[in-house]
Amino acid sequence: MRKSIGSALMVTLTLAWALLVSSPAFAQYPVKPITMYAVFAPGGSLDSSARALGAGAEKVLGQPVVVVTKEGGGGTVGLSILAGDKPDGYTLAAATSSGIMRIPLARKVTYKPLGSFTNIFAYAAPPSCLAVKADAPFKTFKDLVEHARKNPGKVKYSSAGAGTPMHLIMAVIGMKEKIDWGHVPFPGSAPAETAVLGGHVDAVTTGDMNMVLSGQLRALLMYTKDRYPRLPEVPTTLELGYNYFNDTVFSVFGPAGIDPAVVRKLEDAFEKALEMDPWKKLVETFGLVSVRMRSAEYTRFLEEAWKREVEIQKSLNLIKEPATAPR
Amino acid sequence: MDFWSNITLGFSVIIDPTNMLFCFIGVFLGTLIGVLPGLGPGATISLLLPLTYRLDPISSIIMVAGIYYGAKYGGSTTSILLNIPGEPDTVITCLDGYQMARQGRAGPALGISAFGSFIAGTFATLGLMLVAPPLAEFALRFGPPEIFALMVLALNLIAFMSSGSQIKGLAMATLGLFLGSIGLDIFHNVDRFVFGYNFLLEGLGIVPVILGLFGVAEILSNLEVEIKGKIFQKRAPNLLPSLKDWKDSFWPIIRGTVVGFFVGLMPGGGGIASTFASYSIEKRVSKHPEKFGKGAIEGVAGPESANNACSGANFIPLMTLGVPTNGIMAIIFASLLINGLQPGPLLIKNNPNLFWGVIASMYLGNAMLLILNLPLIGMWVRFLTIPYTVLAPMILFFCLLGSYTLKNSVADLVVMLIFGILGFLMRKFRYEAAPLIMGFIISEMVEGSFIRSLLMSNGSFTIFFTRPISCVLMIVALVLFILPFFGRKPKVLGSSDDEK
Repeated sequence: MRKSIGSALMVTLTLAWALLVSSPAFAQYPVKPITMYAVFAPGGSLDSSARALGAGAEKVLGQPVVVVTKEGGGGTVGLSILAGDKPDGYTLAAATSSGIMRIPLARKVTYKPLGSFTNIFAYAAPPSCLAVKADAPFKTFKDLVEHARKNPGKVKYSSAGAGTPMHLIMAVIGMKEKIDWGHVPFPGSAPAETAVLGGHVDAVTTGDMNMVLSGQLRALLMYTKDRYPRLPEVPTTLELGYNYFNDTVFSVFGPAGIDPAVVRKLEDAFEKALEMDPWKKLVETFGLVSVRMRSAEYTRFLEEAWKREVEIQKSLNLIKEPATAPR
Repeated sequence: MDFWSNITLGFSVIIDPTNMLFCFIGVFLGTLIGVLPGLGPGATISLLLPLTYRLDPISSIIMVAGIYYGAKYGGSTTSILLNIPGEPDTVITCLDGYQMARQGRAGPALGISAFGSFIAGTFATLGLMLVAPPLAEFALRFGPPEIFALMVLALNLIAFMSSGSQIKGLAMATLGLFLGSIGLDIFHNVDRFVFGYNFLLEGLGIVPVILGLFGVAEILSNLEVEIKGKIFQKRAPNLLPSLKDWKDSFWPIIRGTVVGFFVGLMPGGGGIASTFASYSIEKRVSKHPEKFGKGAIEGVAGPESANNACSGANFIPLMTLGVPTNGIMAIIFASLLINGLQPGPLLIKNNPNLFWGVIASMYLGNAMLLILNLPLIGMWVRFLTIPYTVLAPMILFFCLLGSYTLKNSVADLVVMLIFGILGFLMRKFRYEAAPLIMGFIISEMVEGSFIRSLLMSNGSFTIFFTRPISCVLMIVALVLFILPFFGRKPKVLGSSDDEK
């Protein structure tokens, strides 16, 4: 008898406590682990960066940040899933900005690029460049341009796919310099690099810096906004007068409508994570450039990037109108 | 000579109990994962990623490598026993392995598979040790035209693969080529046959398709037949391959190893492709090709060896050039990077411990796998005596689990079930699934390499003949194509015994 009263009491107290704790007024975010989708496959720079960022953020937030792979469609699959999740701050996604302001221009996606998400924090810019084999006769970008001018239709460059910033930049340069160079897309950056190493194409336009940093390839032109610290002697597209650079950033998104107080907590956590060891180590190995854009700034960035990208793609005759409405 | 000092270095690394432990964990997990249909090394390794990032790089790579080639050993078990591939690479083993099991020869099939895998794995590791850098350089010379020429050769071989009607085989291969084109086209960023379904953007997944065509379809077919207890009644008297089996398998193992090794070096050289190539070659050179598809041990020995040689060779581009040829290599690549090691030509020079240690672990791992798998053969054979009413739901469960865990996507389950029904119908009407799978997996390579070649040549077809390697391969393919029309009447082409 006493035993059953005792257990009834325990159950009641537990239920009461659970009710109290789960009510919004009482809850201190975060009270349970946070899931962060990584929208690209494990082993790549986005996935690895999400894990490193998460490892730092969880120390600040006091709850584990669990990275779950949801790859596909260049990042759009994960974003589609996120758009339908609850905006309670416990489901986030680490994705590239191309899923927001580039891919939806080319094809219809199920989410509203500028409307379905809370843009929480942009944390890294992956560098990209045009590279040739280390023993190629082209020592500077000008060499390659000269060669291409003298040999129209002969120079070929590989890429990891059409429509990526790496490809588009080359197309823009080709137009501006009136060079006829040929694009050969491959299903991924590894085969694209193998093609240049094997001499089947003259150059590769790539977002994977490893071969350049290891010395197998030589970068001729960086697509970053400013000079890349690890390769300070390589010029950038902006410097050379091409009004285009690769503005893709890695960032954290949540479904639209997350409580601003929660967003602030996440911004703070991610910002602090950028100062921690797991992140520093990652930047070293993948050659990323850290970026710090909090929610408001990042949202402005995306809006401008959208407009700019629509203009460029229209001028290149790639699209007539964006395939997806932004909101 | 350097050789011995390198081996000694490697073994000194592997003697470390931690490394030995991780090697064992890796191969054990790998075998387990390989046996379960659908669950693959990719999913497992992704789950273990956080762990691998915290471990010492040598230990983590040893473990990941162990999972990778361990899965190749385990995958053949369900292929042989249940006609359901444990791994996509073991689809081909189903063809003859299962037939052998039905004849009460499951033991020898499993045995020769294990031994073949061991021999191939060891040779591949030897190859990795001795000739990695020059071979990697050679592989680099295979650009789009060469790959296309290889694909023409491969398409040729498909005709030899079918044990039934050639025409039906080719039809299935064409269907496979078509199904492989579903998804986003990388040349123009246009979706093809996607019909607005997001999950089709990346194309149909190979695992759900295989599990459907082989796993679900198998179960559906068996439900039609009244099962008294189990399909195999006889308890296999001999659990190990006989002397005759060894004699028959000797050359297939050698050839399989060589084929698998070279396919593994190629960009995009996958395990499945190597097994298909080996099977076709064995059937082509066999003195009794009509036995294939009915329990010819060559059809198990060759592909199983090719499979393991291929997985060994996959490490070569990664370790010597820093180019990962598939998703799992990419994960190992990232592990190396995260630990501050630069994959590439300097890796061997700067980190001899790592390179030779991993190689030594492969020898050890292959030996461990042999020791693990052989005694289990008896257990597996007894596994077959479980009543089908229990076995079938279990298998179906694992197929569902395997399809789902790839991308945590219900869409993959739907694909699997659709292909299950398709596979069932195909069996009823005597259309083979293996050529379909082959067409499916080479689809991107066929189309992609063709278009890329033309992009390189500005539209000229002569590019296939002006480059030496590609020219030779094209000529070989053409010769192979024309040959059967001359000389003695070929036993293989034109045989359609599905009329019986």
